[in-house]
Amino acid sequence: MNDCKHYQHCMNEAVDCDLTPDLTEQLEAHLDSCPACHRYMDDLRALLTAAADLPTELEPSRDLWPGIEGRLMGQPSSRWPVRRVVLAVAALVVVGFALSLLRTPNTGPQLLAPSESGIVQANNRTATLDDVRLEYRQARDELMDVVQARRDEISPETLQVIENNLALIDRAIDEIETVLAINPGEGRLDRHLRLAYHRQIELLRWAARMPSRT
Amino acid sequence: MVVSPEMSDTQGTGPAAVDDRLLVKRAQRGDVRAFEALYRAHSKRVYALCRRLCGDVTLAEDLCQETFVRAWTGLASFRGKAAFGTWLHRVAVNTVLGHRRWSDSREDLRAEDLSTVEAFSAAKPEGRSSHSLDLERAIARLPQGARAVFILHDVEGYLHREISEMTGMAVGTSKAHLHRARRLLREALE
Repeated sequence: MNDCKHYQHCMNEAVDCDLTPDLTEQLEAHLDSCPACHRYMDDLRALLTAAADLPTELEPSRDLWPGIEGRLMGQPSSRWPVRRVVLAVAALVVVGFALSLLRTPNTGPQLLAPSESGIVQANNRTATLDDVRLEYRQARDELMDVVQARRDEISPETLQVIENNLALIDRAIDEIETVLAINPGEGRLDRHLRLAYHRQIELLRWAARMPSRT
Repeated sequence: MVVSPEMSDTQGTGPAAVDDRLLVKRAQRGDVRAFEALYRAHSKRVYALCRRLCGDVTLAEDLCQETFVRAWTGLASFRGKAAFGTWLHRVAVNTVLGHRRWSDSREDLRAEDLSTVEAFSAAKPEGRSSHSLDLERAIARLPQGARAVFILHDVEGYLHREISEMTGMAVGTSKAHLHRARRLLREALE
């Protein structure tokens, strides 16, 4: 009886072609001598044949397309927003890379600490996106004022790099905000937007703290 | 819109696959009519999978719709490495297995409130043998895990490794569910 239980397990493996040659040989010998297991094997094969013969298609009770189409109307067409977000995120990656090159071990004098909470909020996933937007705008305005006040202390080349990167991030934020408006609650967009805010604040902080060229 | 009757070709080489590729390209550009043609070609197959997996007619229709909505939003990620039907099938499996109402449902379904059992019992659809319908009813009564693995492995042809990837269960667990499902079905059909 224990043998039969063992061989029933083997039969399942055998029909899935997972049984080793040795065990297959043992199973075949057992089946020749055990009518109950022989019948079990026949039933198992019949079951698998019947399962494979089940219709691959079934008709829903109603046409589901109108409901699908109605939902598609509220969705973005599948391609353009994805492409826009991909481009926006790519821009953020470029800015992140540029920032890593610009950073120096000496970050210069601590000239300011305006609205550091903006940076905290952008990284705080429990904060709502509206809170993050508010904090970000406040921090951005304050940091922009500081950077403007330091224009004469920063070389024109560096200033150009900063402005180019700020423009890139602004465009990324615009793209993500546009797609987020179509897909509110989309988690990835939310994360991308927080990253964009964080990158912009990071860049401005760097610009505000960088050593004077004189 | 001409839609080939062989749209469910899963090999990615036949005329249906070629039609699918053209339709997918148009749908990726935002052509809803092309996507509707894809729906018309594949919906019965997707619905059959949803219905067997979730064991509930109404929920299966909801999940079938959800599958196509997800397919539309995710169409940009479809690169055509596999046939569209294969990709869509995977979307359907993920949709059903990830659905809260499916995963929260009871482990053992009772026959008296199982709409799929009733639906399969109500009338014999044209071309269906009573043996085939008996099997459908028996599958619908299986415990959830055993039912899912049986359908994915023995009806749909997925490997245990693929089932493990989709469900998060270990390969050994998937095999145990399958062996249990086969034993229960064999007993039910005796």
